[in-house]
Amino acid sequence: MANKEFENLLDVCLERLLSGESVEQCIEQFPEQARELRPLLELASMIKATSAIQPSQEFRAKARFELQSVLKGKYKDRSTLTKMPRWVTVSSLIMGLLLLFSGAIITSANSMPESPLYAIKLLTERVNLTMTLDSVQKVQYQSELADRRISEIVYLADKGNTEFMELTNRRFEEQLTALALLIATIPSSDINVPGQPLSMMAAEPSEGAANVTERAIDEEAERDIEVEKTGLEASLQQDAIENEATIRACIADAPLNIKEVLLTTLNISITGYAEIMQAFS
Amino acid sequence: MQEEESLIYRIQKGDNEAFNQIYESYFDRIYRYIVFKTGNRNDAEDLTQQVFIKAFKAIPKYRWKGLPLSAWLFRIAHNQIVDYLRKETKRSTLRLNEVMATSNSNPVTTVERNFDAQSLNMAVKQLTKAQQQVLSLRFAGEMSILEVAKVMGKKPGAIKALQHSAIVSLRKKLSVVKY
Repeated sequence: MANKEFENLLDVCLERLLSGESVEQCIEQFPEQARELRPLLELASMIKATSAIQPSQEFRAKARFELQSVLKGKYKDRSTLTKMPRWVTVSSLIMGLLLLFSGAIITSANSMPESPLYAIKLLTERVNLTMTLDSVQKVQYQSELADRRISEIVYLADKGNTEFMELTNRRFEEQLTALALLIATIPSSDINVPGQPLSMMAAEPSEGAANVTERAIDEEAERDIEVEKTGLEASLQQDAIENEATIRACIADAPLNIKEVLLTTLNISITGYAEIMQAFS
Repeated sequence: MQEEESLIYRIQKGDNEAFNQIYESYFDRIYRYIVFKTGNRNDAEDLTQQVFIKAFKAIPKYRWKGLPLSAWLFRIAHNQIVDYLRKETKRSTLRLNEVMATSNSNPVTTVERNFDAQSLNMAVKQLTKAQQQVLSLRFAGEMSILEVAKVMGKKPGAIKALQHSAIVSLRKKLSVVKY
């Protein structure tokens, strides 16, 4: 039996084992492979038993109580607009109005690299990036730009335009490098003491009230940054997986000359996102 | 998946009950996964708490892209474990055998289980990182092959191959540990 076939068969048996069936019940259906399957399933059954640890009732109750106190408003997510200084909001609005009334800019938004309007699109992106002051939002926007470059490469691959694909590949690479650099500049904190739940970290009885309040505010701010970074990391991880899948799907259908350029795109994507993930640690 | 998308939408609109549903669905699985990876039941309790608090705070920024929520939650748990292990390298920790001892009242069964758990724990540590990750997500996290593939950013076929090689390799290592 081919290895792949056996891997599939083993997986079917493991799925049944994990859903509560015994080793014998799993094997019953595949008598010809029983000799090979039995020792593996017996071991799998042992792993399953060893890892079937239930949280204690005490912990369950404590955890639920602590979570409820977090849900009941100790944490309130402020909207993006209220986080920004007023002048940034005002200038963003002016910029927004300008964008609204500028037909060329609007038309350029969906333009592709071979279009004469594409230069305006790139310029608008650069202005928007400069206008974004919040480091987390900057990362989000930069990752959106990287996604755009992938869409453009897919479009160009479909058109068979290798020259513009190579140009866009370079822009994609630059955007991923910029992303990794931006992530590295987000301030990091290391305030979670192992073994101490968050609710117990709010105050130290030996310190003065003012110091305690200040420290609590600082810690809350640091925690917010950590939380935002966690969200960003998860979102970029998704981007990495999806962009890689998009490129691979495109490679599968592409003619040889396009395939070669797309393989470079794939390589840029894998290396670039790996560096981005590293920037989080 | 559609149900998860609507739950996320509700949480982002401020519906805490929707987050409670996610919490109840994933609490045990996340806890078991952390115990499997850290071997320390007490610290796993704190880490489990932190995973859900982080998830709750990060969910307003969550962008739905068709990936299961489990992939995102286990990713947060994985990051918490990596941070924890980095800090814990110099500290001695209770291992799975002690974990099992506290959860079984029959002394004979406890000794047998402890032996199995200890051997298993030692053997698992000798596997590659990817093999360890597949076993922990599959058995402790109770994830399907597809979900594991999403978390690890690999294809389902590659996960099945890793799962197979992990069990085969674990069996060989256990025979060395036992005899």
